[in-house]
Amino acid sequence: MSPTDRRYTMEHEWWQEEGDEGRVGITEFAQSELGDIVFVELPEVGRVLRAGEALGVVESVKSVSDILSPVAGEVIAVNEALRDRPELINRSPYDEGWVVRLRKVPETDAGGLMDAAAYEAYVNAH
Amino acid sequence: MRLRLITLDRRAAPRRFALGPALPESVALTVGAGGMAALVVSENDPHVLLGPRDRRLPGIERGIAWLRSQELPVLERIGGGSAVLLDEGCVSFAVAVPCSDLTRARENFAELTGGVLRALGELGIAARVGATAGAFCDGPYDVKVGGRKLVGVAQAIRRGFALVSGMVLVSQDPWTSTGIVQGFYERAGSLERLRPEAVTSVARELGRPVTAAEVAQALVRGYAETAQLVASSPDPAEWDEAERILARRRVG
Repeated sequence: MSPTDRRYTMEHEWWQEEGDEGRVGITEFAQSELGDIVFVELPEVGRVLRAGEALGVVESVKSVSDILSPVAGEVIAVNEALRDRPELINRSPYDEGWVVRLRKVPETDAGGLMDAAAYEAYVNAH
Repeated sequence: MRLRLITLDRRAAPRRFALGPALPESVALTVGAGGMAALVVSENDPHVLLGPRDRRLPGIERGIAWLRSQELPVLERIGGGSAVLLDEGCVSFAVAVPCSDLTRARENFAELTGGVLRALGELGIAARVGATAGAFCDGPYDVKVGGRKLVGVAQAIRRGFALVSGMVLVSQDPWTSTGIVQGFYERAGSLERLRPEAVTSVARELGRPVTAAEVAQALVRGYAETAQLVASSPDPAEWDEAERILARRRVG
C-alpha cells in the first residue's frame, strides 16, 4: 500500500510535503518495474526545477530514465547515500531511498498530484 | 503504430555519416517534443560506445586512453548498458516513441524490438530474447541464438521520449570485438571477464558472407511488419542537434 502521507505523479514519483519543503522519491511500483538500480545521478544543490522537469537519472538493467520533479522548487539537499548505495531505492523507496529535498516555490500547488488511493487505482489500471 | 523511417548508410555525405552515432538521440528529442515516433537504421564507422556505469570505473581515463591508442573514437551512449565496439560489421537500429513513464521500460523493450526478431527470422535465424553470460554488454533484453549474443539492446527514457536502441552483429568478429572491450575493462580497473564464444554474428549463423546493407534492409522489412513506416530524412535542425550531441558525448 502506498503511504498516505504523500502525493504521487503519473510518472511514479512521490512528494512528501513538510511545510514549505518536501522530499521526492520514486514509488515501490516504479522500483519494482525498474529492477536492480545500479546508479542514481543527482542534481546540484541550489538548482531550481520546474514541475515535470528531470531532477535526476536512475540507471537500472540496460535502461536509463529521468526522475521528474513533482513540484516546482529549489533543490536544498540530495540523498548522498545513493551515490554509493543506489540499491537503497530498491530496498526502501519511501524512506532511505528518498532522492532530493526541495523548497517549493511559493506559488506551487501540489494539489494536482494524486493521493495514495488514487495512485493505487492508477497503478492497478496500469 | 506509424514510424518515421530514417536510414543512414555509406552513400550519405561523409559529414552526415559521421553523425550517425548521435542521430537517434537527436531524432528522439523531436519525438519527445511532440513529433512522430521514429525508426533510425544506420551503418557504422568504428567507434566504442561506453555505458553510463563505465564512467565510474576507477581507471576509466586509462581505459579511454588505450581505446584512443587503438584509433577508436570513444562516445558515451544515452541508454543503459556497458561498453561495445561498433564497426562496419554491425548495423544500428533505434526506435523512439513518446514516453515519460519509467515503468514502461520492460514493455518498450518487448514492443520495440519485435521488428528485429522478424528481420532475423526473414534472414533464416530463429533468435530469442535473453541474456548471454560472458558476452560484452550483456542484458536480459538482448537477442541471442543458440546461447550466443547476436543483438545488443539498451533503452533511455528521457525528456519525453523512450529510445530503444541496439546493434545487430552482422559480420563482426567476436574475438576482435570482445578483445577490444576486454582490453578497455582491464585498463579501466574492472574485473569483468568476457568470453568471445558467447557472441556470434549473422554471417556466422548463416554460414555465408552477409553485408550490413542486407541486414539494414531486413530490419526495415521487419519493422514494416509491426508498424507503418513513413520514409523521411532528418531536417536541418536535427542534423545540427546531432552535431551538438556528438560533441557532448565524445570522451577522451
